[in-house]
Amino acid sequence: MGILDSDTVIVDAILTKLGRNKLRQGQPLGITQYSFGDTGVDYTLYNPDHPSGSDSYGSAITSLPMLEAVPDDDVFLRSQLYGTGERGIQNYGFIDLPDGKVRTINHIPGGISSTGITLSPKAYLAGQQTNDANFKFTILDHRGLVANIGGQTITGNAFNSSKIDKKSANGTSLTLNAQDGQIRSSVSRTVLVELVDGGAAPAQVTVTVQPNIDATSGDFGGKTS
Amino acid sequence: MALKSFNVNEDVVTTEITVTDGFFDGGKGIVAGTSLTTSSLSTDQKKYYYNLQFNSKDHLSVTYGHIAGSGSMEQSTNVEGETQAIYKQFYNILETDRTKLKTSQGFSMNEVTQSDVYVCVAERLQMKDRVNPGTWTFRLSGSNAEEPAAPNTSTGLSLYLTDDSKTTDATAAPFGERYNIVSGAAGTVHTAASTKTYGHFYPDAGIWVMSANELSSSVPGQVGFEKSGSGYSAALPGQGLSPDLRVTADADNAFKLATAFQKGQVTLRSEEYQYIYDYFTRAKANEYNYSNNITFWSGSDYRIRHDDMQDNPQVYISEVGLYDDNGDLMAIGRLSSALEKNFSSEAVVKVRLTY
Repeated sequence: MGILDSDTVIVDAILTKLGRNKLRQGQPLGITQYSFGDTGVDYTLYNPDHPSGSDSYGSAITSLPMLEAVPDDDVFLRSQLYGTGERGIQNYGFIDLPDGKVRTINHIPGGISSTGITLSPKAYLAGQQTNDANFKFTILDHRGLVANIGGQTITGNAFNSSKIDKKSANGTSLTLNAQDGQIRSSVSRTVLVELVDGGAAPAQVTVTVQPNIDATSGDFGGKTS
Repeated sequence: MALKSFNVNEDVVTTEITVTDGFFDGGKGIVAGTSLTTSSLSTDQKKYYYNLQFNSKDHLSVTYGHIAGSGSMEQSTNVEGETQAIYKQFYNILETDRTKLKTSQGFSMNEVTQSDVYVCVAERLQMKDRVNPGTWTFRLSGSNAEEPAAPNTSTGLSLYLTDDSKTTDATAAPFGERYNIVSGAAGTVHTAASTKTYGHFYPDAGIWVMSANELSSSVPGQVGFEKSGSGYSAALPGQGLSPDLRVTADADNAFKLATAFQKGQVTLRSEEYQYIYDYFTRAKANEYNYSNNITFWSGSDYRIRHDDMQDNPQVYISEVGLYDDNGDLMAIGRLSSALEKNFSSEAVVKVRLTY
């Protein structure tokens, strides 16, 4: 008879910047939900041919020391676990963007406005399109841009702000445009698209934003860009 | 399903704990007086108090108060002396019956109103929530009147002070507990307060009020130094805590307490209240068996990377996130090593959040 291992794992958690900010504002954290993640795990290390047998297939993963948590809420929990009993899945779900994954926000000649773009992703699970799928859109740098998700308008920081302005919101589609007269030079921005309930590989859209102001004169003054 | 709701009644346990630590910079609990330096303050500030620094950071402030203003730089019928202002300020903050001052009564120790007191105040940043009672020792050092005045022979007296919180119930002060300051060390009482009380200790305020009469009777110093004003030096013997009651810039009584600390030793701890929140997170057998990890599949058809995972997926939990109602990540816990999870196993991870 041996001594059984404790089957409860205990981990010390740290507050994220969002959590700290909430406390700073005098609000309770209001923790009501949790999720499990596997950020940093590389499933290519899983080895079904391991000579020690099935118990050791994942030994390269479980033996690897983990990095400790940091307060930035974007570093970890980027890949999450999900599932409520599904089995026999051969192909993973995916997100399709019918209008492509490379888009451009064009300057409208003769002014300081731009033509916005709309991302309308479709989710496919087990080979079938999922109706009414809810997506999480994350704009990695929202400076100089304005977005509309589910009727909610999100305006980014000024284009020349020194602080990168990451924004996330959930909805079925995302409309993205440049703020009038803000974009001083052509920039490339990234939008991550994830299925809120999980089960599909996330997609990434690269958006090129054309300048809509003349950096030397302050505006396009009726000139074409 | 990525986010799962807590059953708050069953899954969340809150515990309050008290964490103590050395009071001094770097968590040091015992510091020799030679490591304490008086910070450079202006003359206007020194009329009232001195700061004692350790590692160039303020840790303790010392001052002297007299109920009638004796020992002030300036005091007259028209001018309220600095020591009187100090005395009344601390009395008003620390004691319940503020009307006593109108009848020339103040801090009462050994059933006698103390006309003058030495006061020590702990730096808030160092004491955190409060000073830990029952564990501190002040070794105040000086000399007695009989000691030879020969320079550089510092064979003085030492007075060991602590509080009686381990043996005596606290008296209620306006904002918490008040204990007697007695002779002894680290909460062990040598002479009970009923025999001699050296002062009052207010742990929540981090303030010690000590009877000048009792301190000077224990560590009087030489007569010649009682009135030597700001010419004190920690290197010289013959100094003590007999206050100079003249109204003159040379009185400088607060510096006497600073010197007594510098010639002695301080043992002190801070206290901090912390709340531990334990969140029990569970992944049942049929839950959380797939991953959004980009290495979980391969190829343009998003095929599950390993064929044997199609019917029996294996995932590896490396972290747990705690979210609010809006789905914003409030806290994160990382496992020291990844935990295997599949349809044949359940995982319970206790996530401990302390703040």
